Amino acid sequence: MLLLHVSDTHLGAYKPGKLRERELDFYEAFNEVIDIALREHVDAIIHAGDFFDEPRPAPQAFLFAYRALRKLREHGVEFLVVAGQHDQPKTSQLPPLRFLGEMGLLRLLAQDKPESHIVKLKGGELGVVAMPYISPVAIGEHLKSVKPPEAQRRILLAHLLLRELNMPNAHASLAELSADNYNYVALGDYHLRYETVYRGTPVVYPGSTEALDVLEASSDKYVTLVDFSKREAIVNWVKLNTPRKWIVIEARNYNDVLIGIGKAKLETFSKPPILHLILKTKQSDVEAKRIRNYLSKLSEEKKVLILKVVVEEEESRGEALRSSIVEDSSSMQTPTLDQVVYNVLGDREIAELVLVILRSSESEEEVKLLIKRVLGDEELIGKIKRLVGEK
Amino acid sequence: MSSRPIGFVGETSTPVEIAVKASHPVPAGTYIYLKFKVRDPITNQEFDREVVGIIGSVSFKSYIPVITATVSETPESYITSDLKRESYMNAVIVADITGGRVEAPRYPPPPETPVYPARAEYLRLIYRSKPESSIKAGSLLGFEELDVNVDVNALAKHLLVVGTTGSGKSNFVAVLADRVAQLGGSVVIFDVHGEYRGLKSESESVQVVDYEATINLIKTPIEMLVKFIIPESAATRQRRLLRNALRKLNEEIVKTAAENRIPYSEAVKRVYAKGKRSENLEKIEKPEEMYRELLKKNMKDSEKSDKTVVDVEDKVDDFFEWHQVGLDTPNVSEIVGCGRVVIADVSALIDTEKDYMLKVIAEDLLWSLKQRRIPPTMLVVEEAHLFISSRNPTWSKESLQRFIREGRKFGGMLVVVSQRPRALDPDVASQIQNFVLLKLVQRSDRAIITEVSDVLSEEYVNILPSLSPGQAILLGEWIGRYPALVKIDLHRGKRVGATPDVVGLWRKRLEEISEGSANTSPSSEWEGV
Repeated sequence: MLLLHVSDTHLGAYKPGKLRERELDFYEAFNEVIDIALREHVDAIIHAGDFFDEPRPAPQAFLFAYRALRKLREHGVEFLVVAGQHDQPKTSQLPPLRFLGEMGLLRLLAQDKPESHIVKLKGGELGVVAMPYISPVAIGEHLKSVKPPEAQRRILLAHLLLRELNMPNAHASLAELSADNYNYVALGDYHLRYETVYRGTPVVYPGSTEALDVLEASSDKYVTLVDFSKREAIVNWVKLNTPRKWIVIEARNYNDVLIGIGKAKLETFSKPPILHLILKTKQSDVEAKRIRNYLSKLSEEKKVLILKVVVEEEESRGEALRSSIVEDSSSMQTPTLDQVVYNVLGDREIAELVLVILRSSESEEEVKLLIKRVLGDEELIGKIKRLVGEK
Repeated sequence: MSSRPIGFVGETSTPVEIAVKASHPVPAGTYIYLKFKVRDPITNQEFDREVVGIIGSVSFKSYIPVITATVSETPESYITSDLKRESYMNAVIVADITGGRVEAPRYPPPPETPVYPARAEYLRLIYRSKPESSIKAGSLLGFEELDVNVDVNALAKHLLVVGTTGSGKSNFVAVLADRVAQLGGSVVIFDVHGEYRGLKSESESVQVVDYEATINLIKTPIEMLVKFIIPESAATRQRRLLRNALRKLNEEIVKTAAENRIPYSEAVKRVYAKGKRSENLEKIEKPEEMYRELLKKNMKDSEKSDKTVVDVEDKVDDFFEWHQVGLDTPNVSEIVGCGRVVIADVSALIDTEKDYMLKVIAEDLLWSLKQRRIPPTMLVVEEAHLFISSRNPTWSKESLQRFIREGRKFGGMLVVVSQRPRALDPDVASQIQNFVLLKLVQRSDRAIITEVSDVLSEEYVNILPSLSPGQAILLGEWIGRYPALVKIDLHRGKRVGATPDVVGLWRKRLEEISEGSANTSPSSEWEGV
């Protein structure tokens, strides 16, 4: 029996930057996971929660999930999943995973309380204790009721934070989970890979499939193949190739930025990386402008995808630079027509008027011409403004 | 009175202790009942008193010298010789129950008062309890139908459990821990011999958590780690070298972990990977081993004298070879909770480490209690004489003393379990005010019990040598004003036989070997040679 353990796919997420490219990154990473499952002929994918990024996924996230899971189903690969907190609606709304389950695309083993299952797979029976996300306050009560199923191979599939991770709001330690009652402990919620052994039982967080945060930036992304051909689980890590890379640069001045970018070797990346720049000291206006221009150029040339600038030293001038650059980076994110028109005219009503005219045009050429006319002519803009003012 | 008297009050009596004379002795621990008249010398009124007591020591005495020539060899002589011998017993008067009101006995029963076996309805008057805060410990000795309940709230004044090996201490601890947890309580057992591992609760509502105590390399204070690795206090130079290296390394690891929000083991990996690029460190996989190598590297960097470095390196290697260390292991306070029994198994540690672990656990619990981060918690310390010793200074002693002193205010309850009370520090023991006394034979052990307890009179102590396993005297506020002689319930979920069947194991092993050798033909061993 061979299982593929994955977690925190966050389908539908587009962090950082709210860009379409970023949203696609999460789908691509998931596709790679599906490909690995098919290539390795696994019996099942076990997903430890946070399948979607939010409990009301966008239609495209649903569509994507539908296509990917259908492919698995066609090849007879089971998809077992527990709900993470991102899969749990706060209202009485239908949980999205339940819908996919209803369509026969996956098996939702637990939505809001721990459940014990015996799942029949091609390679035999698998006993699963499935634990969805439960608040740290309530988990103690739930743990009392957990009983490992009577099966030769037993796993714990859970969405929780181990105390061993040394993080606030931890749920339980391996001792409290009685981790040694299982042959493999498959976890999710923590976004970095983490592996330990508790009294002989492998305990694994594969981590997220795409980075949602700069803290995940420096680590590669993984899934694990769990080989159950013997009773003991043998864990193999498989590195994902599709996740977008990050460049994190700490700089004191323009020169540092140049050196940092040079070292990063932008031309070697298959996808333009995400640039995260940390400015350590305050910058003069001239220096700030040089940095800004350089970064804008990189972005325009599609050498980096997103810029994120953080000033760590909180000083008055530093603040100024941060605000100006952050604005810059927002305009660098593929601007919409509405934003451009609004920024130029500075008045919502006029902007809407202009947009109506622009949209009513038939051909692209005509629109381009119109935009050029309007934007190129300060006087015309002034006139339009006055006109609206009189209205 | 329907039953026949078992004897009569002898020549002397006090309100709390009487001599009982009888033709035949009754077993020690038998509950007795006496009814007698008392005359008030001032009003000259006569009134009835009823008291209940327990038979303590039991003896036989012959009035005629026993000479072998006069001893008849026929068994019937036992009956005919009743006249020449007499049984002598001592009994403790537990309470006065006149008219259904229970109070302390104040009148000595007059000599020749008949002594009857007590009936359940009298005893029921004495051992009443508040059901909402009590648990059942067992039944009154000789009265299966009479439950003995103890008040858990009173355990804020802690509990001392003493008894020889095999007297039923650990069974009692299992009963206590499980039922306190059933009440919604939080319990930690400091399990010195690993005998509670795999404890099964009697109830579905209780979760038993096995906690494997390890030495956390990051959370343990540097000074402690130094003492573990270099126990010789004279080695100041070595210690200094190690201390500085540890401090530098742990600071870096904690910083890396906090900045990246990663567990300590991952932080060690990152620090190691950074060092590997510059220093050509070996490729290893276990973070604990990486820590060891980083520690050794830090020492080499700071010290010029090769000899000192080599000496300390050897000690570091030894330490990692023989000790259970961890980087991410949580503290006990992170695991305790309502309805939960945490078993801290320290059987894999050596004595000094057990001592240290106990200190860590006691301080961690007390600190968390003060912060109100955890519910009131009961800490059970097995083999307590090792840690609260009157002779040897230990690390845990001071922490336990503080736990006893301050725990009371914050809901910390200490249960001290020992088979050698004479080795316990009397200063600590005297602050404990509830007791479970199982079979104790040694006179010095019994003497110390009377010394440390304000409530225990010597008469009770004399019963202790003749108790059977599982029988105990319970006294202190948790049982009420009157001590009880109790048959402790048997805990079904605890592995029976803390003492293994050695011979059985040998025999089984021998059978396996003989079966195994029968299966392999001798010639096959030479194949391929």
